[in-house]
Formats: sequence, C-alpha cells, structure tokens
Amino acid sequence: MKKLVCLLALCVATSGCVLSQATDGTSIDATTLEGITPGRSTRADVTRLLGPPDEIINAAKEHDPLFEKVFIYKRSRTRNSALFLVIFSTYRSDTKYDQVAVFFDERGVVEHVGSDVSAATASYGMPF
Amino acid sequence: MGATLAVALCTGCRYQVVRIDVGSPPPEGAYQSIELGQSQRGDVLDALGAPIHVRYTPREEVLEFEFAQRRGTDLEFILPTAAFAWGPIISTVNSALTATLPSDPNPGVPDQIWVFRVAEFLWGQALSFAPLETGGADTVSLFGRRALSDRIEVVLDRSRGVVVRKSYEAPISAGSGSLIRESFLAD
Repeated sequence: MKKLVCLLALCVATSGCVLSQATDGTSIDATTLEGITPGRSTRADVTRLLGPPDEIINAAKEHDPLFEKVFIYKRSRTRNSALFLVIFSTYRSDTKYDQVAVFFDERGVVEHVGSDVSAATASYGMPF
Repeated sequence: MGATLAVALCTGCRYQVVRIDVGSPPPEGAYQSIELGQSQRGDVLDALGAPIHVRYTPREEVLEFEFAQRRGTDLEFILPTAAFAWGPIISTVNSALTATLPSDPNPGVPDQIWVFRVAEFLWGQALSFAPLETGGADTVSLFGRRALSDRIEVVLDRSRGVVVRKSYEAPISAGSGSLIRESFLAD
C-alpha cells in the first residue's frame, strides 16, 4: 500500500497541466463597426475608428494600380490547453479572430464592410 | 526502486495528441446561399463575414475564406542529443543527400517512390540525433500531423459585380471525426 501511494505521488508530481492565453492587437467590438456607414464613411473615418489597417489591398487596376481598395483589420486571441501525464500528453490550441474587411469605391468612400467578431469565442479544451 | 526507475524512463517517452484550430467554420448554409450570377459582394460578406484574403486580377475580385486545423499524434522520445558529436558528419552527409535525392520521385515508378520515401524518413530520424545547433532536435517523433484547411473561394466579375464562380474545399468537415484514427492514416 505504501509503495502504491509513493508511485501515485510520483505520477502526480511528474504530471502537469497548462492553460495559457495570447492576444494580438486590440479587440474589435460591434459598436465600433456601427460607426462605419457604407456610402458615407471615408478612409479617414475608418482609420480614425479602427486605427491603421493590418493590410491594404490594391485594386490592381491598369490606370491606377496602387488604388487602395480594401483595408483589412485582424485581431486574434489564442487559448492553449496542455495536459502532461507520465507518458501521455495532450495539446490543444484554439485561435479565433476579429476580422474586418472594408471595401472602398473609386471616390474612397466605404462600399461594403465584412466582419467576423469571434476572438472572444476562443476556448480551452481537449483535442479530441 | 523499480517503479521509480520505470517512471523515470517513461518520462523520456511521450505519446501526444495535438489539435490546433485557426479561425471559425462558416455558418451552416452560408455557402449555399451564394448564387452564381446574382449574389454580389455585399451578399457574400453578409453570408461569410470578413475574408482572410482578397486579391484582384484585371477582371476579377477573389475573396478567400479559410478555417484551418492541424491535428495528429506524436510518439516522442526525448534524447540527450548533446551527447552525440555528429556535427561535421551530419553536415557532410546531408549535403550529399540533398544533392543526389530528387525532391519529387517519378510517380510513374512505384519502387522508386518507396525507396526514396524510406530513405527520406530514415534520414529525417537520423537528423533528430544531431545537436540542436546543427539542425537536430531534442525529440524523435514517429507518426505525424496532418494540416487541413476548409477553404471557400468566391470570384466576382469586376465589371458586373456579381459572383461568377465559387468553390468549397472542406476536408475538415468531411473528416471521420476520429482524431486518433485520422492521425494514423495521415501521410
């Protein structure tokens, strides 16, 4: 019995679990996006509300190849879960994004806004 | 004493199950709601949210949406690689093999594929014994991980502003659901 207890204690001592979280950028909320109005808001308005974009896509038009057509914003949250037993371990990483793509027309006015605010849904858990 | 030794040895060996998810799968029915020749960019964005990539050609606008998952199992042996002074030998042999082994064996010759894939696998395992600073690893891994991406691509005609093509590759969604079984079947 004593040996079994010692063995179990050793197994517990050599095991472990880890929960960690990492975020990249500032989260985007729906209230902020409501301030962007298609047909009215400009690039300056979008930059004022969301900051500088993470990526700018050019329209690749022949007469104006550098026309800034799309602003893309991306924020992420990653939650990691790890379980270490003596000879068996599991690891799960879940990354979710807050993503916004703002499309501009020829005048530099917002045409469309695509958004996916899901960073808060990143979760801990097992990999199965 | 024996149990302690067994546990100590076992801590150098580990079976690990891994799953890494990036992004969110599209809402059910969202892809089907996009109609060729009718849906416009706003309809696509309302259905699928923000694209992960946008690119333009002179005539087309391409919106890409992606949900990626990497999963698999590893059987790892943690080794004291610093005890192996392989550096110069590894570098020399590695350079010779890189110069002689083709990266893409002729698919029309099955034997050739088998031979080179075995050689590539064995050499990869041998490299794991090298010290870290020469490109080795502190673990030797058997089995492997599979990276899958559910990808949706929607192509719009820039002059008409409507969807002209769409595609949905969904290897994750079509999976068996068994993480461990799929891992053993991975390439």
